[in-house]
Amino acid sequence: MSMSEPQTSIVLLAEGSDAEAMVQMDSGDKFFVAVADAARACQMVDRFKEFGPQFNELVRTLRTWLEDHRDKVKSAHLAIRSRDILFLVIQKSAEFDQQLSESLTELDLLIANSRELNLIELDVLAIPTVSRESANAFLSTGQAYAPGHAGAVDAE
Amino acid sequence: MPSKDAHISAAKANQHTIDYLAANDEHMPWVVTVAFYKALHIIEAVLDADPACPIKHTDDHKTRNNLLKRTNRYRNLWQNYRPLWEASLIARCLRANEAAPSHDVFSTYMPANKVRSLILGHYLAQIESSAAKILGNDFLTAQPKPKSL
Repeated sequence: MSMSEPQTSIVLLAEGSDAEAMVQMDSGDKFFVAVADAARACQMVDRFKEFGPQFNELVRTLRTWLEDHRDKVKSAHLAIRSRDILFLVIQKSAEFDQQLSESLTELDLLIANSRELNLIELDVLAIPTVSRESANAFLSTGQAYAPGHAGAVDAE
Repeated sequence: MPSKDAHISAAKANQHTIDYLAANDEHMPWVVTVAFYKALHIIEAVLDADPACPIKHTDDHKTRNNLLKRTNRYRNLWQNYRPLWEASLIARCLRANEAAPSHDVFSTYMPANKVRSLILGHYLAQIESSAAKILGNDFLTAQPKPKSL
């Protein structure tokens, strides 16, 4: 009697390949994908797994900054855009606040150069107090998310 | 891909436009907008001229901003360029408040005296000063060298 070892087949997906792979889902659906794209997709899945914890760390960092500037911030929003994330700060004041703007620049530099947030592409922007309709000019390009709604900092 | 000299020439033209517009306080949103584009051309000239910069030209704001904020030697440029970018966005996209359409958001946000002292006198001046370390102190006044045949 022979015992056969469970067979594990390894399929090579070489990024430089010009072949196509057929993917068959449990539902029976089949589709074809360039092997180069499949290889890159695998890489993206790995990065996606790392992205979740980094996004949580980003929200923690932004909340800390918002707590430190609570007296000057009316509300803050994250817009998830196709290529990056926008952190939009709506000031309580209608005038340019040099201190707030420069603090936001330092926050931006901190996040951009943090190894723990290396998958995060963030833009930051502070605007004077305006109605939500006017602020939508900046938020409408992405899916809006208000960090304060989850608990801490929305001063609106 | 425009050369360093082409960017410097565009920056000089932007300055002529700023001088023209700044005579009238009502044109301050455009002064800020042109000041931002002058800064952009100066930065593109720096990237082209800087031997330490791996990218000689950027095609879009995203790439340019990322390069500036993630390169330590451009830190001062970014610290002064970002407020210009921010103010120019507000000047272009937030002229009126939907809740009070007759109210001019920008003139309250940044009155003419602040445009002159902060935008032109501080942020843009800082960018010119940082750029001069790479492009030479007279980069905005010197005539471009004629191309040798």
